[in-house]
Amino acid sequence: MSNERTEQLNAVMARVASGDKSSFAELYDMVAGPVFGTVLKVLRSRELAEEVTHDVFVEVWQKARAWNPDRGSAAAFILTMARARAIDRVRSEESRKARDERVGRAAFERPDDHVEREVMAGMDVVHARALLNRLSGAQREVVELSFFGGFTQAAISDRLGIPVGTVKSRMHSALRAMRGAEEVS
Amino acid sequence: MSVHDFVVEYVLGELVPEERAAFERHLDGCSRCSAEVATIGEVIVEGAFAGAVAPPAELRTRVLESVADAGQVASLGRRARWATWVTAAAAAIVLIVAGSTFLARPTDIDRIVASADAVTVVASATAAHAGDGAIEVVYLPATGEAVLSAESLAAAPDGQTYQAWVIGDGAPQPAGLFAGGADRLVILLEHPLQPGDAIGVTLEPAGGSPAPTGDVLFLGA
Repeated sequence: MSNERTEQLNAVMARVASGDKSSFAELYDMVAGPVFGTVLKVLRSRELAEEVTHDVFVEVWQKARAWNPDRGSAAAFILTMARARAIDRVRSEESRKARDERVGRAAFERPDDHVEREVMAGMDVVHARALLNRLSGAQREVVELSFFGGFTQAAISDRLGIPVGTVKSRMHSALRAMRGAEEVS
Repeated sequence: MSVHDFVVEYVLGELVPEERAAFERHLDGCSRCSAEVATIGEVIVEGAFAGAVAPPAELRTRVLESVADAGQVASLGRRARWATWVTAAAAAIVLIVAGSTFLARPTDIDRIVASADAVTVVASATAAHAGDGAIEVVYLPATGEAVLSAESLAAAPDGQTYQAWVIGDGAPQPAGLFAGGADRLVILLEHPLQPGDAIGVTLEPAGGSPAPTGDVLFLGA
């Protein structure tokens, strides 16, 4: 399932990288939802998320030739860029305080329900669930806050009241466990 | 902090631009980290597809309109791209400076590139062996201050360096050295660029030359 998607996206990206603008709409349709979801979770503002999503896609077009398949699929290239730009935006344009206030508000939303809802709306629910099920509770918590909550590791450390080194080692072991599952599936 | 931690933070988008640029240079030479980035990246992809949220329809229209313009007029898009280059290139600048005789201050570069008066000159490849790289210069006509950026430029051969030249009425004036080999690099030119001047790039012996000796690889006016 996901392999087919990966290959389709890689093929479209290769056409975009060769300067084919007509393929760009196809690329957009394939990844706009994941990009917008990723950016929205980090920024927590639809207005900012739309702006950053727009800029990410323009950058994808401009830098399509820099995509190196040895470093990952086209989807990974785009989504890593999306997350990085969203985090850059949080860092550069918003005071730490404003961010903390929003994080505080988000806490009232009972994030676990929120995550569940987002995940259930997703396209690859079964696969993502299977990956998450490989994790211990502590690993799963940091992965969910990072992937679905849009928090940086530093923010997760603040939120859970545990050292950032602990967050990083949980994330590291969680990613290794999930990656093992990816390779098997 | 181990390199592996950088892999995770890179994929999670948590590195600051300078660290990100430095890590991308590391990736150029490290197949092990590149493979790690590729595998962990797929986990991020799964998460992102699972958490997809449909953006508003008008965003699609706006994106496609911007992309339609980006390859043509592109002054706005180019400016935006420059802004990201400059930030991402800040770490690269330090390395370039270490190998040459001038000092590029990122603040100057930022100011020049961000100026509403900045003019862009594209230097096109004029020789087959110039490779796939792209070179642009942004300058301020009022002061002549100029910033050169090179994207996807092949590394200069051993014992050689790229050298930029400002070509006005007289002899070409040396305007700075750079090594290539990075995804992108940005330098402040050492010689002012005036309207009507051309910009050329040659390969010269390490340390540069007082007058061009190599073929002109890129030329723009």
